[in-house]
Amino acid sequence: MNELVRRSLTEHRAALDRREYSSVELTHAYLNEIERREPIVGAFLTLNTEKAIQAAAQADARFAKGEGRGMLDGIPYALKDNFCTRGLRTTCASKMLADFMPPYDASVVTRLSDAGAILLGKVNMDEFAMGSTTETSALGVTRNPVNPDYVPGGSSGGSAAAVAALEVPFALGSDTGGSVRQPAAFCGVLGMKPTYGVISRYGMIALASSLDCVGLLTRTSDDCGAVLSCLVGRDEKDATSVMHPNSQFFKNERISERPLRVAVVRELLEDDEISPDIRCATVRAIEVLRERGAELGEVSLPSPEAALAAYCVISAAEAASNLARYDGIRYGRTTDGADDLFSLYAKSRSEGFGVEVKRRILFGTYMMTEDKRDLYYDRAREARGRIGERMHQILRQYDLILTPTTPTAAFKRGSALTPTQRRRADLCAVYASLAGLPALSVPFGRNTDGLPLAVQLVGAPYSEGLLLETAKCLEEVCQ
Amino acid sequence: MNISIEEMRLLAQLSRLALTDDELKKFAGDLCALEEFSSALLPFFGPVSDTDEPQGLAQMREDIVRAGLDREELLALSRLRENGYIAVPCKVREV
Repeated sequence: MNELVRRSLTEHRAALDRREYSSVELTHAYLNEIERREPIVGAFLTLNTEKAIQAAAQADARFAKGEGRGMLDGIPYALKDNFCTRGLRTTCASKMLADFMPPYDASVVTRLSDAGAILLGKVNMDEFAMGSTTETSALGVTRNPVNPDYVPGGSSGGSAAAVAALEVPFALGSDTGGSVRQPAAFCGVLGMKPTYGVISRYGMIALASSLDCVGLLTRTSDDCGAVLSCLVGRDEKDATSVMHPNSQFFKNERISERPLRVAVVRELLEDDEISPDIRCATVRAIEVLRERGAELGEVSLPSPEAALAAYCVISAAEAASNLARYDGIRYGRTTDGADDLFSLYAKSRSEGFGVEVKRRILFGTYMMTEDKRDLYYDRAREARGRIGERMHQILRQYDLILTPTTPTAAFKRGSALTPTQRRRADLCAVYASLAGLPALSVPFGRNTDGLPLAVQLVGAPYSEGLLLETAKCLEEVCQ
Repeated sequence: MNISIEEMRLLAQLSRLALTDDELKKFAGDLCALEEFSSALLPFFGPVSDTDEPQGLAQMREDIVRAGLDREELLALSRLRENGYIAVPCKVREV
């Protein structure tokens, strides 16, 4: 292994600025690491080798002329395969889009490209971001780099695995109900879901539009701040995007001199689903913050069952609607055996979608039928409103909420879990998603099997800087 | 909770999915389990506006015509292209 790949993004920035090594050398170091680790890890679906080396050479030329573009210039990264990349296959890990070549770039890709970042390739995920293990991918198997017998989590499992395996210093994922935070926790890296709307989703293939966020995966909080600084901003191509009041997150400054006020959620510590190792890690994180002067308080949230059910119903209803666009006509898979319009739709979709996607489309459609809509969907929206009100109420009294990220550490590949059991992996993550709040999963130790553990920090809208600063305290303890 | 095979056929039709009877039976069981899981929502009720938006109002861009993506490039994504158009199986015929 080339020792270069162990360094963080911010260390690479300093080294590139000192001309200790070039972006081309750095890019080759990561491409070599990808070649070495991929037979086990299996994070990448498509590599962008030639263009990456060209882009690295262009970055080096800029450095030579003193025209560097800032923090991310010349730094390699990976993209979850649900971000459109012009001329580079974008599959959503589905047979439906196995050969799809987007005619445009997602806004985040444009921003990263303008900042000089080097795209090394597209990484695996659960099909259409539906899952929590990356096992629903139709295009490949991804293993947890910490222990390949275990899943990397999902749906951004390829992004988390690539960062944890030192194949890239950072990656982007998408987080609808924990899809960045949960794999980050399983693989032992940082995973951020920012405030809803602060990063444009234009060109990110939609799952559930009222919940979907672009997410960041890095190895340190400073790195996360650097990437976030590049990505936030209003984009008129995404009607839900908003301007973030801050624009720089990599120099985390104490926001206030008064002690940090941290809320601990009783239901998420006492729930039977929370395993003892996760509970221990969370209690230890509470102690660390208390030792650093934080004031702790206990709070209560609406039941996790209601939060999970609200997420389950709303996300399925929106997914059924969003995925209606895959009709076999304009792009994506087209069946060969249709003699009328309906069978063209139905056969193309049935051939293209996997079991989990079909299940969620059916459930979402079922939830939007006349009687079920009143019974479940409207109530899910009401539950969501109450959860949001309660979270905001707590965050007027406290600076942040600390919870586990996941109920358990990573589970073994091929575990025979039912669809409802799998959904319980999102137990702690869905609250922030339903409320549109920023949340950060921070690695915090390992269990006796050597698997990573993590805690989650949730803050008020636009409090990403505070979350990163608090994460830094926890990182220092783990180093 | 129980979903009949006829209801599942209708759901599959609404979902634009071609499923076998075995698949329909399997998914019926999954949907029942998910519905039961969703029963945690039953204590909630209350008026919800059809137009409310939990995350704030969307900001629409100005309604002005700008150059979009290239027509030929978009057509090239479809296997059903024909003479500069997308051709689908005939739905309505003259009698």
